[in-house]
Amino acid sequence: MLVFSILLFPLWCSNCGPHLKPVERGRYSDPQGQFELTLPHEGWQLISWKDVDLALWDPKEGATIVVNVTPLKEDADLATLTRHLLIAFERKQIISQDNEKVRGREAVKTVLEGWVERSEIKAEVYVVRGEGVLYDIIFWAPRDAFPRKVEQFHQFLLGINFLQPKGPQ
Amino acid sequence: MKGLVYLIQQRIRSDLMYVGGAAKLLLEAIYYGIRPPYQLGLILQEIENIGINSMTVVNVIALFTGMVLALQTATALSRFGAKGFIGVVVALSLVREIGPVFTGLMVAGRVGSGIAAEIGSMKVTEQIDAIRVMGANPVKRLVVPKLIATIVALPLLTIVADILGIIGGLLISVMEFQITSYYYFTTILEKMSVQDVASGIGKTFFFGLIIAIIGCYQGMTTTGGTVGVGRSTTTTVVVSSILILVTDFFLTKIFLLL
Repeated sequence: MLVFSILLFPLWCSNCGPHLKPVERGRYSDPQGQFELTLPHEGWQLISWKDVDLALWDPKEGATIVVNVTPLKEDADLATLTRHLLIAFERKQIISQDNEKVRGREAVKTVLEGWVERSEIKAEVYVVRGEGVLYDIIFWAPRDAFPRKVEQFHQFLLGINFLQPKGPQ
Repeated sequence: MKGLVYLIQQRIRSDLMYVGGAAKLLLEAIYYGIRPPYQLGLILQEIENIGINSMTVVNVIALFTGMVLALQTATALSRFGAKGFIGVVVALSLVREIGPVFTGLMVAGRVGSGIAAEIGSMKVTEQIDAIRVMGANPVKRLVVPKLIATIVALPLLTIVADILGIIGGLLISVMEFQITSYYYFTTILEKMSVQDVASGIGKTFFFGLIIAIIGCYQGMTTTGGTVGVGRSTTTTVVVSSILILVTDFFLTKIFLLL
């Protein structure tokens, strides 16, 4: 019985705590205070704000937008960091990779085609340097749906406000 | 003092959560692994990726380890006039201990980090949720093939590494210490038992399990975008390597008792 309890305790510990949805009147505020934005309406659903900072999904088109914010002290190369995000895309072909500005911040934009779970997809990935943080903004959709959704993603990108962090990380 | 107690509590809690999470993932993988469909194509693809693609690095290291071991052993044994036993010492060291452990560590570095990076990258780009939405189970689709492939590939890699290590030892014995290849192999065949080989190969099933589960768990729990993926790969290599060495000690004790 004791052995059984010892084995069950770590399993019980691995459960997650409660998470509050950080949305107010269609406006999303990152709990870490790193960014805020107006959520897009046209078919997008907020599906996660726990493991990633923000994940939006369009169930009709199968398109996804993900935002991750990570504290980063050192002056890392954005193109190298972008590579970490692209590992998951199977049989990928990078169409372009350019240095850009996103809301006035230094960024690397990568456009690629690849496969996710036997579906051909197209993706636009931005890695943006913030004040001591790094923003990853990823948009991917099935290849045929990409042209229909990419404009909404660009509007989403223009609506992001990068903020100063609330306190030391 | 209170702060120290709090820190220790936090550390114990996070370690227990890690162990709990990894154990839960292993149980899920066993549960989904024994249920059809068996995804043989995916498993073979992973065996190719984990086993065949790791051959070069494992073989080079095994060959040179055997050579170094022969050099060091012969130098030490010649002080006692027992240089003729190089073969058996090299072979026993390789087959019982160095072969499995070095292969495990190499695969942890190459494959474990790769598993964590691949699944971690899928996690931070929301592909795991996409797999779920498409009606597939991420554990069955991602974890089970990698777990089976690592458990199958690691013993095979170890057998090849053991053979190459013994050949490395033979090269040094023949070229540096004028021991004939006939004598080298005869001493090995006379002194080495099936139990020696079985205890070495037996360990690699556990090492394979550790590498795959830690890599998958780190990947599945990756947070923090591109930086998080890098962090997960590093943690996988560190945790897997430590666990391989710790487990090796206990497995050696168990196999010596059998």
